[in-house]
Amino acid sequence: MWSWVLAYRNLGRNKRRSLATGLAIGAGFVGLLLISAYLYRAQLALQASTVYLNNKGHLALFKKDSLFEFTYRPSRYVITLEEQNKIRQIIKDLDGDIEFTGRYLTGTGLINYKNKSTPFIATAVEPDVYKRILNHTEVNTWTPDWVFPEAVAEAGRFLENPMLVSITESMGTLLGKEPPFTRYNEDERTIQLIGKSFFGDLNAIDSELGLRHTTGMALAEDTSLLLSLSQLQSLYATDGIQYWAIFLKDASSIKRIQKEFQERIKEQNLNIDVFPYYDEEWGAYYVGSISFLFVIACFFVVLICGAVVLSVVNTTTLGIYERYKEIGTLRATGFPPRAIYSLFWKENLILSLIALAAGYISAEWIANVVNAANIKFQPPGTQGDIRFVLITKAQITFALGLIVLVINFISTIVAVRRTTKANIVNLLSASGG
Amino acid sequence: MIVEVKNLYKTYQLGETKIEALRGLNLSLAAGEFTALIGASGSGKSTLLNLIGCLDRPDQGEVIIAGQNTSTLSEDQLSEIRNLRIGYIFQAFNLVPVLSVFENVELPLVLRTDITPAQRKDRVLRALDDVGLSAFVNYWPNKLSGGQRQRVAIARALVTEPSLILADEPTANLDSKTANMIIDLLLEMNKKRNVTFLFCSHDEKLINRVQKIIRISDGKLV
Amino acid sequence: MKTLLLFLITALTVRAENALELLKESDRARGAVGDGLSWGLTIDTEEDGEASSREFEVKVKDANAHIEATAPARNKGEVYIFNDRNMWFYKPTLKKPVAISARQKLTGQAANGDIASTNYSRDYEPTIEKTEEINKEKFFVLMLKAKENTLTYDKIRYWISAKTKLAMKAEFLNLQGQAFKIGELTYKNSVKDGGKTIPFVSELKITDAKFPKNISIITYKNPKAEKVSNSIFNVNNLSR
Repeated sequence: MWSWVLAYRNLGRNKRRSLATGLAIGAGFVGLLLISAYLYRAQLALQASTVYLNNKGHLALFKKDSLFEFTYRPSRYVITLEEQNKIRQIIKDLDGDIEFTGRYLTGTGLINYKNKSTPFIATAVEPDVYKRILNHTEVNTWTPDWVFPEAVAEAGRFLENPMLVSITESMGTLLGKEPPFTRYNEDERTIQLIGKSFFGDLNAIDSELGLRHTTGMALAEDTSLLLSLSQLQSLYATDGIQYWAIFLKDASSIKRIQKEFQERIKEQNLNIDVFPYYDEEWGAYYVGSISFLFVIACFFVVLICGAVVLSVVNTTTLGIYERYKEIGTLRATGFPPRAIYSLFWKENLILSLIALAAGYISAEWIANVVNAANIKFQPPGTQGDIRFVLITKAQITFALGLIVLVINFISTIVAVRRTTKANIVNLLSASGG
Repeated sequence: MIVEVKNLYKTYQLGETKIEALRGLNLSLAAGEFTALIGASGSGKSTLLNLIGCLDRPDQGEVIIAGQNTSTLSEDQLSEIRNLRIGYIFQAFNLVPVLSVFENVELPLVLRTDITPAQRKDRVLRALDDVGLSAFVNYWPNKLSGGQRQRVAIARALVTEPSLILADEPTANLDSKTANMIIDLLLEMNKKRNVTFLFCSHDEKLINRVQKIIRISDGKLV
Repeated sequence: MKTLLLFLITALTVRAENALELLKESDRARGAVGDGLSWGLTIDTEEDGEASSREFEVKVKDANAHIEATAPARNKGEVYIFNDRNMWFYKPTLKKPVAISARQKLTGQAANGDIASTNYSRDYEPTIEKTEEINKEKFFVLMLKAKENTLTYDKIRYWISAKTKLAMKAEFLNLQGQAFKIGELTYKNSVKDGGKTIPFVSELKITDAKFPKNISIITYKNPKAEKVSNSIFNVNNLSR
């Protein structure tokens, strides 16, 4: 107890310096918390957008090698009806862990209105899955900016009319059509989709402009088309699908369910691969974005931690220099080196805990102010503005606090180490203090 | 013997110059001796005091404290010797400013696991009573006079009940009257507790009242 | 000097005119004749180890063509219409015909534009690049440059026999001038044009320049001159 009392009182000896160090630690912690709050939000937004809005599911079942080959030879890599029936049985077996599933088909072609046509990259969804995804809690919580309110309100229209398609505003401009498409009569809403069937033939189907959506990615905004699975199957003259997305009740069970799927697929002798959404090949955008964010975060974390370390080392070194004689006295009265270490790290621990508490309160306050300010920005590569939201999480805050304490501890040890090895006579005869 | 010093050598490097502070010095101190170590400035008396107090290590020779050869001990073992066997009184008192009088005296005992808090408190109060500072238990060092501070330092040296107390110019920072009072106190403690005292001093008042004087010159006893 | 310049211009013009004449002659054997013509067409494709076959009935008149798929059953009823240089696709399930590009792949190596009659002399600017002798037969090698970018190909290198005035080989070039498809023509059919029997194309073998195993063979059957009604080329008549 004596050492805690001594450590606490020592902090008051040079209040200005302790305040400066405390501010450095506190400001560093605020920085770390705000970065983590942004990253946490960004990661969850990316996750929700990848899993739900980009229809990747937590897991996706593909024909082996389909990930790369499907675009070139779709007929060879399509999951046939027979295979779908077997997969359906596996899904039934794992029903307890699965929230819902969706069958998907993607492909390219031309969307045509009168004499205007533009290329599309289509994602065909099952209408009920589409509705479910747009109304999903994860989507509402993390990616509301990337879903138009009217798209959510009209998410059931695919169910009523599977002939509808959903296009982006950019594609609408290319076709000379502006949302809402209800302003046009049926004839004006009728467009045609042209593509190459899986038999290699030219094919076309009539469709109807109904909904609009956004991809959240500038790169994909001109070509993205959403339509019902049956429609795209009709265009490509197939009853097959490209992949089957599995949406889990609990995202933390991905690895286990992936393994169970793999085992059952093997039992059924199916030539199917199972990919999680964070697979480098399947979820390249997610993995790339997260890696990029991680690198940026690491850069800032290193900067902040560096500043905190330098500040603590500097202050502790000055404090030690001023207290050479006192350290010498303590050593002369029988204090071993570890007791001197203990004294200084306790000082820094108390200071750090006070600074962390203040930092936490400040970070929460800043996050609340930022969130209330409703700041919108357009991150590079994304389509449209998103809200700048900061969300702190207790576990992350705790972990970051622990990191700050550990680096403070190490900084203290580094600063004190030389002193504990110094000759006691030299310490006692020092002019400092 | 409480202290036995055998063939002690200590050399300091000052820039490119080597200073031989001690050159094969031998010394013995019996229990309860009240001894002054005198000599000209730079004669090696402070070096000898530091080596006996285990604050420094000799280049050659042995320092035996209460029968234990300190030259082979680790840093932690030396810390233990300093804590259990030796009390130190400094010229500048060396009190910790953020600790009260009580806490300063208590300081050497806080590391001891063989003493209960109650025993610790009792010892501290007794030591403070011995030096006449019972009324100043909760004072801060900066509220005390020089003599009072040195008495706190004496109490701190006594509280561990050591067999040897080393004092480096204990009266140098005090006025004549206070110095006399401190000398009286040291003599009283020497008699009351049978503690061996070894001073390093130029103060005639103190030197005149010790039982034994050891003169040192050029690193050797004279 | 003036005389020399005049001579050169005249020589170049004559050469260009000769190229155009050659092209017109060769077009006649590929459907660009008379008031109306019809033939049957089969496209057999071998692509990435998979074989497929499609059949069409072709009716042409002037710059128009009406092509109806007859087999396989899944394609039956599909119609392609050429109106001058515009092309349309229609099938019974569509409300209206769809405007398509002649460049779009129809099946295998065959583009939509490959199944109609060929009227290169109207669509392309020809120049004679050189003459070549193949199997002791002299060929004019023409370079055809598209007059519009809606045409099936940007450039074609075209081998026309000096003797028969029939095109025997074509290299379809991309914008960089590299051949991406090679066509070889056979003329075992004949057709009457203004009381005169002229040879008519019987086979066009199109090979992928990079993957020679990917081949489409267009076989032309029963070409005959017949009166064709203009109404079949009217896309509005196809709407439901």
